[in-house]
Amino acid sequence: MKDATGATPKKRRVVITGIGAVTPLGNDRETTWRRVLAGESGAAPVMQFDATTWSTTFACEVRNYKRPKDAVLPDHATLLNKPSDFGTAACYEAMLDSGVHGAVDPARFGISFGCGIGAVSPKQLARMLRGIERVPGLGDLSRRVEASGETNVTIQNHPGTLAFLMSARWNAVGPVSTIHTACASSGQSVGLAFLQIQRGEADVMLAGGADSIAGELLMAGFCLLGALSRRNHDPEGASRPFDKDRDGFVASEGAAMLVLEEREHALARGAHIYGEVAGYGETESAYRITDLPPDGRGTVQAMQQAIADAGLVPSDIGYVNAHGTSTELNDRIESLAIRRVFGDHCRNLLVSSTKSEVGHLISAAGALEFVFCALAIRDGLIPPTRNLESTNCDSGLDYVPRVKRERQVKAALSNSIGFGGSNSSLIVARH
Amino acid sequence: MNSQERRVVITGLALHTAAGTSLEAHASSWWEGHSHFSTIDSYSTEGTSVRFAAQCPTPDLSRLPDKKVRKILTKKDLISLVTTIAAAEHAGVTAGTVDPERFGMYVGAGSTQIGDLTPYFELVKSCVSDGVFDSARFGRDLLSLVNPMAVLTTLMNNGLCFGAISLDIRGVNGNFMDFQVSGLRAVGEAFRALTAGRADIVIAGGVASPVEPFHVGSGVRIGYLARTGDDGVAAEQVVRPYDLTREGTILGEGAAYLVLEEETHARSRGAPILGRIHGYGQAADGAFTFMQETHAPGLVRAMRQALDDAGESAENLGMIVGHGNGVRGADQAEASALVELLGKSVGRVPVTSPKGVLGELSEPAGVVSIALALDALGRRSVPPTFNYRQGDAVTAQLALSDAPQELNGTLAAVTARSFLGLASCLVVSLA
Repeated sequence: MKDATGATPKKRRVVITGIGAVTPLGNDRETTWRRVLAGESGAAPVMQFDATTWSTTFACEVRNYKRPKDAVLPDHATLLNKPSDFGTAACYEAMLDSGVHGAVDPARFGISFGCGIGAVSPKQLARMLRGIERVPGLGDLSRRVEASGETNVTIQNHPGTLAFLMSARWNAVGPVSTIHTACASSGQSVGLAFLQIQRGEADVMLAGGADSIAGELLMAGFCLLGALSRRNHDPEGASRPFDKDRDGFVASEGAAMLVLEEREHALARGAHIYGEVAGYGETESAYRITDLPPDGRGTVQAMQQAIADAGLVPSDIGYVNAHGTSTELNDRIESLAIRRVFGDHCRNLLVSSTKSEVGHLISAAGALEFVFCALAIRDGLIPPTRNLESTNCDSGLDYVPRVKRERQVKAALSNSIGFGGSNSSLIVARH
Repeated sequence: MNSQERRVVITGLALHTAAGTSLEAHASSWWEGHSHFSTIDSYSTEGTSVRFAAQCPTPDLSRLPDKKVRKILTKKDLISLVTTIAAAEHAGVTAGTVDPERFGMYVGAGSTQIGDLTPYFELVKSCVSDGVFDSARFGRDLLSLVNPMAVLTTLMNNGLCFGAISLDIRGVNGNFMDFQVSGLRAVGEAFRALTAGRADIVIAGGVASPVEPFHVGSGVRIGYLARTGDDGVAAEQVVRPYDLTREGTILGEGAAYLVLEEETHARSRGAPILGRIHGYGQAADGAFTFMQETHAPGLVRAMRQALDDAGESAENLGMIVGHGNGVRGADQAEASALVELLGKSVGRVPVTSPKGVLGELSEPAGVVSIALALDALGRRSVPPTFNYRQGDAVTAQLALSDAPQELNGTLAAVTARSFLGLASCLVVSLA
């Protein structure tokens, strides 16, 4: 994109000036972070519905959530589904944290979210299907919707709706986008926001993700796939990335949002800066819909791209927040990929998976884990991998088992690896 | 190569809509007014207000080598995959003929619909008793009654995933969920990735299959879809873009993909050069009324960005392919934006829309419009806007006609707008 003089601008630097989070460990950034550092677990028997007969009976659920009063425009509240609701609160916290509201040209202010479908609840679905006998002959459903006006379900459960609602709430009328690449969604959405500021398309971007797979239909889907841990006797011990006894991930929900800002714009208004978004890598594994290639090629390539994009070398990275899902395949191959990228530097590298504390937020995972990277740099503290007793990943990596580690790092990298093969790697550097 | 010198050309194009799968079949539609609306065949429309849609046949499965994959893919995903492969073939690209890590893919995809949850319907219905949903029974019966692969059919990034696997695409990628602007946004991001040097060749486009009962019922309820029941109006006369008597749109389904390529890369492999992309812009209104609004400030900004990017002014545009879907407010809002953008040139720059014959294709709509623009530029004439007879106070200011018009120059602006107030614009030309 060319500037007013017709020249393509120099690479613009991007910093983080606001962070918000709603997670199973807390409905704000600092509570979540304190509990992650303490190695606490958000997993417990499912509260939102009776899951006692399910193959998996527990999840990481957001508790005691209450949307801030002004988080969404009053007329738009009926368009929220559960994850979008979490997203509004995370945006609210991030925006207030940054102080950028009213301090940016609306046309230079954009949105980039990674969101899941949220899914209609089976109760809602059952209500819609009530009295309809000809399944899947569903013309009656169309007629009923016409007559009843239950029209918001389509908008509520579209991944793109939250971005629009936040565009309206915060008067962000620059580039507005939503990405869905499964577990890589919000890693990619933060990456896109970074690129858009770098390219000169915006000065400020509200970026992140929101999702919930702790509801019936989506949790059912992952139960069917056999992807969820069945450690029903020990929910808090279920998410155990890299541990030899891992048996699947833990369904979770929540949102994480960041305010990304062009560095000079942030400095000019005296904003607090958490760190600099230094590099981004985005790749496809092009292998199988749910499996990683045995050599971890897409993950390797994403990390290498991000490091090169940041103008760094592998030894500059002090901490990797791994995708680390607690599934057999992901953890083994991601470990191999990290080993391939960092080589001998692995002796000094700290690697942990915060999914051990918060579970798998799917579309929101990448943004939340990038937030943890930024906070790790801020505080000089590396979050632990809870439940890691003994690894079989055979990588020689230091996974920061069970207890947080004090370490000042220059730069931290966050990996996201999605169903469908999309990968992202994001680097935050000390500013 | 210096990224500022990287130019982007179009080397492949494939369409798959109710009009067929060839550019010639589509050209026949937009030049001669052959429409392709038919009675909805996926559910009974008895007693509903919408009988028609522009439906495309399910693709020939023999083109897909992997039988297991065929079972996972929905009609939408199948359409996406065969169109992706066709676009690559058109560009002379097969797996292994380009560097996979410099080969990317961006998709604008329609969301999962309620109708995609049909594997769960019978189970959900059986779990309702006296209006109460029994989630314990649901969980108990889930694994025995629902196909474990059901969840994979609902993944919204399947088009990207299977396109990447089929063509060994390992580079930049994303899956945009921005309603009707998604496809154009995917092409825009591909353009950005190529100019920035993040890829050498990218497949980009959109896919949607929204003809399902809940979506259609909602569309009628909010005044977006025209009522095409037993009112005696012929289907081919229902969608009347920009016309005084317009009353809504008809849904279409299909896919449209382009192969975009850095010019020297394309020339070095002797690829056909179908067109060139000069600029891209995107913006938001920050407000919405389901396409009943009367202004589209986001579209004005998106078009100005695209023109600035191209180093051109609006008066030099040879033509504009508008979103023009026959929805009363949306067409007025769009026309208002074009009047503002074009100023004194408003009567000189011809505007057209193919939706009178193809319906509202939603996510791929903007990409089909690029195909129309290239076809028109090649013929040095602008195709008619079918069913446009007389404009209202705003749309009448535009150079619209139900007959071919003369081009005003060699550049075309292609636009798309969503019913949540998002807008995108690309400026294209022939090679």
